[in-house]
Amino acid sequence: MISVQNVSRFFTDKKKTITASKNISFEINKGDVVGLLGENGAGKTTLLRMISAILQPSEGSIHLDGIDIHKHPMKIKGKIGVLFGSETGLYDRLTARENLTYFAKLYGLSQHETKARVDYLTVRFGMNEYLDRRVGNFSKGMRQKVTIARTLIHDPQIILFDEPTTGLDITSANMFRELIHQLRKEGKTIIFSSHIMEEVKQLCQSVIMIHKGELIYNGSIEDLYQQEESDDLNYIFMSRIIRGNNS
Amino acid sequence: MTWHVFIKELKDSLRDQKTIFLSVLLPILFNIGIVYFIENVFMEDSKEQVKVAVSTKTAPEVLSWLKDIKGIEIISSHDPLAMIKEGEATVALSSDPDFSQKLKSNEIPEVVIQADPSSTKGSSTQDKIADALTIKRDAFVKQRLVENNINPKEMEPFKINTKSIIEGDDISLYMVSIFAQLIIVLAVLMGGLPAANDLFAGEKERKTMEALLMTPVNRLHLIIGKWLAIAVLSMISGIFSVITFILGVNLLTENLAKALRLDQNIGFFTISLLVGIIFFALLVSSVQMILSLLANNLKEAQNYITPITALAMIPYFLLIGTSANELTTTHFLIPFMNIYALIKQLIYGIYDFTSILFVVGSSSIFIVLTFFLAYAMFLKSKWVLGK
Repeated sequence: MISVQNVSRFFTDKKKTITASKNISFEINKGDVVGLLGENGAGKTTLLRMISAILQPSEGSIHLDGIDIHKHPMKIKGKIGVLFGSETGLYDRLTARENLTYFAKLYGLSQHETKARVDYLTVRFGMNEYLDRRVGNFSKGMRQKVTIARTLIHDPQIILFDEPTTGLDITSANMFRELIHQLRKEGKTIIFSSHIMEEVKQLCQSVIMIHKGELIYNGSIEDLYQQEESDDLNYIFMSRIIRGNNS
Repeated sequence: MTWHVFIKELKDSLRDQKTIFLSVLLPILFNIGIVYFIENVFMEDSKEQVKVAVSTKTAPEVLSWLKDIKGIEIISSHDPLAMIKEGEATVALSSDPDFSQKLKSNEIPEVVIQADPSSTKGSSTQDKIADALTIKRDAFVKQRLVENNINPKEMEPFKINTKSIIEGDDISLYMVSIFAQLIIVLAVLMGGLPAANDLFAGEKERKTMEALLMTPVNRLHLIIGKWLAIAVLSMISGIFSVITFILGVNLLTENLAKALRLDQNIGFFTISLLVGIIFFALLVSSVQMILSLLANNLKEAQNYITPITALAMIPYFLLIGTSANELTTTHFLIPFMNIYALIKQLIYGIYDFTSILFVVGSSSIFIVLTFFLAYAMFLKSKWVLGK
């Protein structure tokens, strides 16, 4: 279970304090698929960075299965896989295999485990043809597959996706949605941020809405529909934001 | 884990064409170019005839003295000064038209030698002509003393004899010394530069840094692996540069090869230079890491690193007029200056173990300080992730 308790994050830029996250609390159960919704600059990436332990909260705490993420980051990093964007975090001058093997080593996989995982992910994402080619020459779709494989190389229990379908064509975006379906069936806990309400509606049981760094909704999509007396998630999202601006 | 990071960064960097160009191709081209320039342009230039514009009214006696001076070409002119200004001559000379008559009647005739003080060639030729005329003047003085029954030795209570302390061709050795410092230090500075930019600022820009920080690897291991990769590339570039410079001097030149005699003490020379390069590369890499961490992207990193690299050349210019014998402990204790001092000392055949210890000691202190500053920055999300 992921437990986020009263988390705030402040940045200082040119002597001005910017609040990226403000007193956010929520819990996510094992196996849940949660959509993280918010406008650009709402604080979604900051929140995901804090959950993945690369950014320290200014206030509050985040626990994973009872372990404080920021006090014991090394204990939980192996359990989390994170993907920012759709095709980032690859070394262009290395081959797809070298990229995957490097991250497998960093996650502490043995040589045998590394080979098994690389083979499994190669088959799963159909990367066999270009596994030993340098990533720099790949198409967007090929890069996307290698990036996902890199995120899953250590078979993480929790997967964080930050706007994974932004900028993708329909085929690639559908492939991504299919992947999330499969990972859900495998019992993975998934948090993904998105602008596309239809995608969230299809994939998630619950949503977390953030506006100007503050939590404005946390709960199931069904409850949200009932509260707003509408099943148009796009409309609900906009009305919540307008209410957030007026409050 | 540091080993995995180091090997990956080295492999990644060596596949970068910029690294190959700056670490391998540039030293070869630079060394061949420099060696060719010194031997065939600079040294030949010193043998070139310097044009001296002489007034048409100059006394024939003075003219005959000038003809005895080697390395000058005499051009007759109505306006010698104008010839200098037009760039057609380097030195202008004129004398009293009735020079011989005045000399005989014990008057004081004048010879005027003019040159542009900003021209090295002009100033040195001006001195050369003045020296030749001084000898002629002294001969007249002696003759007059004899004519007046005075022993000329009375006018010369002692002799002044200026000699170089360098055996053989001191100009060639000086040339080797100043260019070797420049070539080796530049090679170390440039060798790891693309990697330093890429491994921090580049990774922030491409978001690979985030992926790296999400792994359960201690950041100290990550930064050590990256730092060593940058340092090794700087060392390779520096060592490669030394080898190509020495080969270039020995295979492509005559004067410089004679001046650079490494047969004796080649072992001490090699080890000392290697130690100097290793510690300098470790220091440069730490500084380059800090600058790359300060930047949010590759372009910004290049903007920061280029002027700092230029600053590293300041000690070179400060030491250019200091001889190897004038180098003091302070020169070997100041980082960045100590590598220039060490190379200069070694080229001049001064093998001093204490100097090497000073270089190692002072560099180590600054390596520790700069590395831990870089590490402290690497722990802060502001620097490690960028904006």
